[in-house]
Amino acid sequence: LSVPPSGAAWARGLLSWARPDRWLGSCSPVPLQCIHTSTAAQQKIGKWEKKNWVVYPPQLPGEPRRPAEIYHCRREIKYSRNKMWYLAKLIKGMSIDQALAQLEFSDKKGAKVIKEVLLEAQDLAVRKHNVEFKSNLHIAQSVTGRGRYMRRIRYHAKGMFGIMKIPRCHYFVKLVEGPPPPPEPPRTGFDQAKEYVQQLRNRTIAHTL
Amino acid sequence: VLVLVRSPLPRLRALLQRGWARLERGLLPGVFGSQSPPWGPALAVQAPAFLPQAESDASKSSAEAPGLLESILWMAVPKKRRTIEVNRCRRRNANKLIKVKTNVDVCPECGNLKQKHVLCGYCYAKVRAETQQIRMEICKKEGGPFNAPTVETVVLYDGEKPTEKDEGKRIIERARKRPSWFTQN
Repeated sequence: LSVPPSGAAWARGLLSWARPDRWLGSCSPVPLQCIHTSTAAQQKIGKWEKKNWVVYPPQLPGEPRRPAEIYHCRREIKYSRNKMWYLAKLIKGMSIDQALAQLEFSDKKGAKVIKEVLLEAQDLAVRKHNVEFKSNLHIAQSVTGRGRYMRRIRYHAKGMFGIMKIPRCHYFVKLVEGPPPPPEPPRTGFDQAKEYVQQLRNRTIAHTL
Repeated sequence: VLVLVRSPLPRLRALLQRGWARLERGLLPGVFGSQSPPWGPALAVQAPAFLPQAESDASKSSAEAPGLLESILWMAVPKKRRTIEVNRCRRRNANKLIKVKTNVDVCPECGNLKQKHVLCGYCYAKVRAETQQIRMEICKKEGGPFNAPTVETVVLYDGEKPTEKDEGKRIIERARKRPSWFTQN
């Protein structure tokens, strides 16, 4: 879980490019161990995790309520991102209950992983992001990304070899409070005809009145 | 993703060259036969359509040394690289996407999700755990393999007495309260 740095750590993070221990040189009276700059001991925090740290200014009394957004992800899942994409596409735009139901009875390996991610995100939403009802969430964005691949040798006959890639992927999900948006109605022939007529009406003769 | 790399093996190349030469001789005997007589004035005969093609083939094959590159002409091979747009159209076609299941219900016993034509996973796991305990009791009673009696078995829980219907049956005791889903008689 990533936590945004507190006030003092922010300042240290901003000024980490300025290294006072380097300025002092070899003839410094101050021992260099005392001066400590911020170090990212753990892996660098990705952009998706940082989206949760956005703080909006308080809303004005007349404004409609801004729905809560929860960004969650899992990195370096041992699965192919193309195969994971099919599951991500399946649950895009569904309510969280429906998504969990679909994933529970899917035979794919990634379904189990995505289900865990969704449950974690739901838990986070209720505990930290002030979401009242855990069922009142829908999936606004669900995306896969490429992780770091490992390369290995695969031995063939007659002294030939191939280089095989062992893929890993990331999975990103954004939950938004509220019921899922209604699906777009399919384009009918009438809609297409209306658009055509409108295009005809939009025609003008150039350089005239 | 697999990338085949060939390590240099002169024996393999020689084998392929000999094989290709044999193939050529076997597949195009007509070409060699038609090539040998010189083209002079002859009767106007309806020539077969493939003759100029075969003649060009023979001249080409007699001129160049046979190699692996020649054999590629005979195989079904992609002509152009499939662009990512074409690949996406194929991979994201509606029939390739995962279909939404409409046969998911809620189990009336435990409230977990279940498929309509399948037993509820949670309830089944519960029953399975209890069955495993009963089987362990049976194991302890029998002591070894091939000791199963030829009478029926009855499972009795805490504070239950065998009724007159369970006269000749084998009784297995379980040291717990009867579960609600395991009804007696």
